[in-house]
Amino acid sequence: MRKQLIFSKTGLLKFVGHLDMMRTMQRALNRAKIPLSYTQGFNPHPHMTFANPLGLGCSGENEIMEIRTEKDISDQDLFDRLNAQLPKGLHVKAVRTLPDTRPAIMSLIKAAEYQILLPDPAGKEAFGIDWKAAVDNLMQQDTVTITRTGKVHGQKRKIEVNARPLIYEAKVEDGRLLKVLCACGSEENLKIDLLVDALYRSIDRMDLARMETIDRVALYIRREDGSLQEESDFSDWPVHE
Amino acid sequence: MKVQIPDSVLLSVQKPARYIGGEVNSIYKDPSEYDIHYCFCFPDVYDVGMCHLGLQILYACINACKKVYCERAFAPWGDMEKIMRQRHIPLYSLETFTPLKEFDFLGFTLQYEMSYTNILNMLDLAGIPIFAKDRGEDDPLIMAGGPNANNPGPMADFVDFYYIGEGETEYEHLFELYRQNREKGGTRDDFLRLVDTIPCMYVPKFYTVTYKDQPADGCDHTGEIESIEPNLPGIKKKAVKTVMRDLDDFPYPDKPVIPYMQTVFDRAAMEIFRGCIRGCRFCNAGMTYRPVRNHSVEKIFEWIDNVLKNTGYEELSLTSLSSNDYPGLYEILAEVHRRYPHVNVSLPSLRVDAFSLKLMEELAEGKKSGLTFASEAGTQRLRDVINKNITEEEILNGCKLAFEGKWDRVKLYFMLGLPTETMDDVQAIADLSKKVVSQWFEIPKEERSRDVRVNTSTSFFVPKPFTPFQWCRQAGYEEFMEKQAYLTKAIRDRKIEYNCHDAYMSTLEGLLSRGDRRVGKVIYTAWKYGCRFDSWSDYYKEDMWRKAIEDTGTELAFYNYRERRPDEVFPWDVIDIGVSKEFLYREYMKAHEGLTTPNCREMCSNCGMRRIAKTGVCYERRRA
Repeated sequence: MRKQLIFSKTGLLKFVGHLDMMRTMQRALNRAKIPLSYTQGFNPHPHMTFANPLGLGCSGENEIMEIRTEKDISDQDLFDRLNAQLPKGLHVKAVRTLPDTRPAIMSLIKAAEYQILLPDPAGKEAFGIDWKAAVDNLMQQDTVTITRTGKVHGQKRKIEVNARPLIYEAKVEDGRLLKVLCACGSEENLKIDLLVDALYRSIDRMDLARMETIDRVALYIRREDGSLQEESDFSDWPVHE
Repeated sequence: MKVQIPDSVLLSVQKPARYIGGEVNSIYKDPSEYDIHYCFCFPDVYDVGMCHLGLQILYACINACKKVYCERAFAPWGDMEKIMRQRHIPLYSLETFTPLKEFDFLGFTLQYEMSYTNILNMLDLAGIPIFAKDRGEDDPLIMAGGPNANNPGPMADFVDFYYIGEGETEYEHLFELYRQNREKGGTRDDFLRLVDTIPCMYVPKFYTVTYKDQPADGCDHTGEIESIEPNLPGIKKKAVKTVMRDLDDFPYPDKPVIPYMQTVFDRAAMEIFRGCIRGCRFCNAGMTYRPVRNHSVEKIFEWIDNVLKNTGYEELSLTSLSSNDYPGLYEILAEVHRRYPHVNVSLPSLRVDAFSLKLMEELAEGKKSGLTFASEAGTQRLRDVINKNITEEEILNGCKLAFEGKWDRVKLYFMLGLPTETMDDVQAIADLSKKVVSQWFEIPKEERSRDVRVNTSTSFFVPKPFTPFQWCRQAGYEEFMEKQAYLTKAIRDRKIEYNCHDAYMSTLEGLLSRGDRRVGKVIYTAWKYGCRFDSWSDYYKEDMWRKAIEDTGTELAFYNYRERRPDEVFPWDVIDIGVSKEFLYREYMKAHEGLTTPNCREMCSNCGMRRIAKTGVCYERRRA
């Protein structure tokens, strides 16, 4: 039985990396006695997948995971039992059952929405920096260069990439709350902290790096007409809080 | 007061999950629920400390004491330490982020010598005076326990008191005395007087160590210990190790804290018995954890049930020394496999025979990890000297069976520099490794594993307190390295990989493990010179240790390179560990004659343990 779950990863849990979070989730499923089904083969592992890994240090409000169970279990039962075993900082917000035929969630996700609270170096919400102008300026560029580690001829290198086409929308509200809609998924993906670094670099304030807080709030798939649809919107799901 | 760690700090260090606590099964208490605040301190990085079963046992045990809250702290890795010092962030506990300075007690575990500098560093990061004599009424009491507390010499200047023996027995008593003293408005010293009334506690400041003026044989200026005597009336002569009478009496920690980050051992651990009947003469654990006591089969299954249910782990380790000495071990393993088919089971030391090989294969679900033989010495003569109960025939037969069962990796462990060792014994290490390879070649192609890899590892022998070899001279650096170089040449086989390491750390371990109070200044000086995380190659600063030894005028000739006199006073003579000095000396003499000693189940050798522990294997036969 295929289940989709929306969960949040917040508080200190944002410092737990993706692989460690997966292990934590698997153990919680074990404790909750959810009968996961296992892959076949020499080294079986449970059917448990995540839409897209969340970067270390980012919290996620509406993350998506999918599991397959060996026996049938109701959405409500799964919701209750798993939540009872999750540590503070991980919380299941909604559960639904999906047809087995749907493609894997990882391949469906195309975009993500982030809310980034930018630093306030002057203190007391005085900002000291015109974040709106800085972001608008960045968005007017044709090229936003980010440096990421990648492989060139099989060797690890720092490579420069133009991230501008990956940023669909970016605007600043309330002085320093940056909202970004950007590419996310297995084909095109923007590592959000690299975008924030590019913003700091554009105003020559790299000293502010890692002073922001990043929250991923939604994940999107693409409809057939090309428009985005929020996959993590669970308002009409059978079981949600 | 709570310590605040800004996100930006956690984002700029490696593995921030080391510093955040909040793990599944960690314990949270409301301040109204406790009046004594204890912090268990592991002097190494989180990922290492969290694998330690003793931590899980004591965390559960101390938190079960009435009105006590036990938290945890670890040594921050270098990147975190740097930021903590820059920003004046004090070392804090993982549960409530309370500065360590605000606790009533800090309990350090002494697991290995090369973690001593981390203790000094943790105290310093906590803003607590490093020397016990400099601490005031408001500072926490610094206690130490664990295997290396059995020689309280080297760390005596830094520790307020030692707890000798098994942690399950005396904490409630200790806390009761603490409350009494607090209610009476007693001072720190008043409390330490009360601590002395507990037989297993040792308070260094109440003892004066005097040294002989005349240098010991072969030394320039370092004299033997003349005496270790109480310096106040009413202080006991010796601290006596405390021993659990019945392991089943204590609730085993079936809700262990589960780290978020991947640690070295990512699994549940169930202790099946404590102690060892074998009596290998180099082994500190084998002597000091006597007598052997078993957990009952019923309790083992009850706890395995609970621990798997409470953790969700899919791997289980049944821990003990020499696993095969648990009566009915194979039946237990088969039953574990029947009850929990998905759970991978591992054992630290299983004897290799046809039956165990079959079981291991089943338990590991077809995964064939390497087999390990701790032969320790290359010749039967030397194995008899150290009383290591394994024969060449057993090793070769075990390997033959393993290769036929398609195992393809064998690890062989040896020690260099054992007492009476000659170059013939060293050569025999290479020979035995080759014989193992020959075993594989002798099996017809279609019946054996496709390839074979023999990993031969040597380490250097470090004489330990409370072992028959406590009188031994330890080989010098050059001598160690010559033997290693010889082996590197002697092992010339593409199927054998030889692993070895530099000998200087073994020299340091030798100094710290049999050192006296005078060695404290080497530890302090090395720490001042920047030494910490000495067991990590990325931090180990050999040159600074050499400098610390030189600058403090410490003579390795005294601590390492001389045979100690039969009736010499040892720094650990203030401790009664159960095993008597007479027994150890008898064993030492037998070693020189190459005579072996039967194990505890075959025959009692009157080691002295039954004097202080009226339980376990010492009394098994009588009951039967």
